[in-house]
Parts: sequence; C-alpha cells; structure tokens
Amino acid sequence: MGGLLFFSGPVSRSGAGDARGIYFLPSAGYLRMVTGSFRPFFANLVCIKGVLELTDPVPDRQTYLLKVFKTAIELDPRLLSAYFLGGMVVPVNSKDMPGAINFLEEVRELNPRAWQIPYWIGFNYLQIGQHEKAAQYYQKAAALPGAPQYLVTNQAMLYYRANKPEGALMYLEGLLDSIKDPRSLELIKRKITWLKDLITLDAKTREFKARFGSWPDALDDLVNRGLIAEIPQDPFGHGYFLDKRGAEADIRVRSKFE
Amino acid sequence: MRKIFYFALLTVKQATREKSFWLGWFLLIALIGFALFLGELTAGEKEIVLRNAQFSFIELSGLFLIVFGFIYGFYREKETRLQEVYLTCFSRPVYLCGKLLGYIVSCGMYILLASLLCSVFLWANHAFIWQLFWGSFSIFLKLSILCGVSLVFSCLFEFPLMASVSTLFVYVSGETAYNAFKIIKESAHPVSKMLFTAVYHLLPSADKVDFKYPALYGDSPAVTRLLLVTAYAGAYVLFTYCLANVIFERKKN
Repeated sequence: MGGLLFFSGPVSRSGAGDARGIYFLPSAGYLRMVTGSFRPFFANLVCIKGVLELTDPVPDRQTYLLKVFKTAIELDPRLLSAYFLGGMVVPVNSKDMPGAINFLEEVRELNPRAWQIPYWIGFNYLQIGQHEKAAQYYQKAAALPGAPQYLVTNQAMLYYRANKPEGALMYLEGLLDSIKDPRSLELIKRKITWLKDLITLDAKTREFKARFGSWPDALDDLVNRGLIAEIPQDPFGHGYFLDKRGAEADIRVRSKFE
Repeated sequence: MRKIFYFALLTVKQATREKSFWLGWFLLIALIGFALFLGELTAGEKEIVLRNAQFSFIELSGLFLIVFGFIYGFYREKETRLQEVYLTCFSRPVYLCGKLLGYIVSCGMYILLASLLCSVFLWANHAFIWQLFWGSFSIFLKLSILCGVSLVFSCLFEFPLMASVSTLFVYVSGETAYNAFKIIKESAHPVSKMLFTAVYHLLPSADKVDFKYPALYGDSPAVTRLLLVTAYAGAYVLFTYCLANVIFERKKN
C-alpha cells in the first residue's frame, strides 16, 4: 500500500494523468444504429458530454458544441435541454447569435410542437435587436400547444419596439375573438387603446410637420395648434412623448417606461 | 398443469436463492447511485435522465440475471444431477415448461420490485410518473423472450459460457436489428434482402416490443398496440419453448 502511494504521485506528475479532452463525437446516424432502444439514454449522455465541455477551451467551440447538442437532439428529439443549451447557452456574444439561430432553425423540425424552440429563436433575435423577427417567432411560439399566455400578448411590445405599431394592432385585434379569459381580454383591450393612441399621435405629428414645415418640440404643440383636443392618458407607461433622437424616418411617439 | 406450476414455483425459489439474483440487485442499486450523479450533470432535464436511467439499468441488471443467473443455474442442475432427479418426477416438456415459466415469473418479480424501488427513488427526486410502469412492462416482455432464448441455448450447448454469450448476442442483435435491416433494405440484392428480412422477423427485435420511449415522457401506449405486442411476446416465448423442447428431446435420446 505504501509503495503504491509512493509511486502514484510521481507517475501522475510524469504526464500519465494529463488527459486532454477528446473533442470527438460519432455521427448521430451511427449512434442511433448501435444504441438500439437505449437511444434516449445515450442522448442524455451526449448532452451531459456537451454540458461538461461548455467551459473547455475547445477548438472551434461553437461548431463543435452545436454538433454535440444536435447529435443529442437527433437521438432524442424531445430532449428540450439540448435545444436550450445549443441555442441559448453556447452563444456567448452577438457574433455567435446567427449560428445559434441557424442551429435552432435546423433542429426545430425534429420537434415542431415544442413552443419553447421558436420562443428561443425569437429571444435570440431580440438579443441582436431584430424586434420584428423576434415578434414573428414569438407569434409562432404562441400558436403552439402549452405556450404561456404572456407570449400571446407580449408581441405587441416587440412590434412597437420595431416601430411597427400597426402590425401590433392588427395582431391584437385578431386575437380578440379567440381569447376567452376575461383578464387577458381586458389586457389586450388596454394594449389596443395604447397602440391606437400611439398611431394617432404619430399621424398627427407627421401632419404637423407637413403643415408647419418642422417637427413639433413636444406633443403639447399638437394640442396648442388644435390638431388634437388633448394628449391621451398612457395606460402602460408614464405618458407619451416625441422621440426625436434618431434619423428623420425614426421620429416616433413613444411611451415613457423608465 | 399443476405439475408445471409446482415446478415453476420451485424454479422461482431456486432463482431467488442464487447469488446472481442478489448481485443483480446490488448492480441496480449501484447504478441508481450513478444515475443520481448523471441527473445532477444535466441542466434542466434531471427527471428525464433519472427515468431513462431507471429503464436502462433495470433492463441491464435483468439481462445480467438471465445471462449469469438462469443459464448457470440450469447447468449447475445438470452437473449436480439434480436435473435427473427432477426428470424422474416430471416429464421433459413439463420440466422445460416449468423452468421457462419460473424464469419468466422470477424476471417479472425482479422487474416489478426494481421498478417499485426506482419509483421511490424517482418520487424523492420529483421525477415519478405512473406511465413509467408501461416501460417496465415492455422490459418484462423483452426479457421474457430472452428467457426463452436462454433456455434454447442452455439445451443446445454443453457449456454455460457458450449459452450465455449466445444469449447476449441475440439480445444485442435484437437491439440493433431494426437499423441494420433498414440499411439492408436500402442497398442489398433482392435475394439477400429476402434473407435478411427473414432473419429480422425471426430475431426478437427490440423495436417491436419497445414502448419505453413514450413512457419516458408520460405517454401511454395505445391499447391495440399493447395487446399486439403482448401477443407477439407470448407467441415468441411459445416458439422458443417448442424449440427448446425439440433440442432437449434430441439431446437426451
């Protein structure tokens, strides 16, 4: 026993224990063939391999890890954590996002009924500032069984952020007939009022510009010049204001949220 | 009929006294502990990992029980001349039928108790769903077929190692047969395609009796499929019994 311990340390230090990671995985087709009815269990093991390698200095990290999680998904298409890890955890910055979005797009067809996958694609689009795309994917997610209620109504906000309040209004008005829950219905109605206010104020601001040759300094100018009777109450934010920070085409009426 | 049940009961008693039966339990408990570590390693899917591990480990320890317990027990009976004593009281078909029934009942008991033990473990980890018992039932059907196969090889070979290895090979080929068959269907010559189709249908292919996967996610199998699969397993066990009977008769004569 003593001799064993005496030799064990030097042997480890001599490099025998220096096991570098083996960043290799057989193809999903091959694994599917040899694993038989243990396929879902192997999917778990492949997924665990990916989790353990997330923090490793893997060469060509994103390509390799996405392959690992894709293999796990192909072995068990219902293993949602593999979709999540590949699409949401592997990308570490905005440069990785297109790859993660492509990954989720590719594997989505293997589990078309999971609302989470289009939701995560939408979330990634949101991260890179593509609000309209995000809204489209949230809409797809909301249409799938089991999707939470907030996905149904929150898209209006994304369209708003994408400077498309008309799109949000159309979407919410389309929902009115299908929503049965009175609280959700009330929320949707308030959002519709809010969007209508934004659209009206926007139109009046542009009318002001056409009539007087310059943008109004504030929304009060619309009331002072008789274009509207009063500034409507904002049901969500702390009042409407004219956002003139961007280029001419981006000048919009917005809600104060901060 | 009474004699068959009597001998089956005797086989069950024998099987539960075997060391390998208790080794099977030890293996299962060790694997359950391993599963707990695996569950901790999977972000967000602990339940699925634990359920998957339950099925895989029950099946593997059940396979261990058949390959090392039942087969070696059969040969020990032969070596100690206990078989000859039995054959003075029971006819050969009754002896084999009781043996097979005893194996199947022992296997079923083991799977049921192991499933209950795993259920407690899953319940403690918030991963239990009652549909998992459908998966256990599918393992029972698969291993019942394998009990029949092990009896055939036990009658056929002189050495237990040969019978064990052959049973193991049948199990592995049954597990991989479906995908191998898919490749053959794509590429092979019509004659070899026919040959492989026959081999595929003759093997106890796992894909035919397996409904572990839907059970894993809480889905129950359709009643018609359940009945069909049970009937298939019953027919297969009967087929192996007849085969074992023919071999046993020929060997004795």
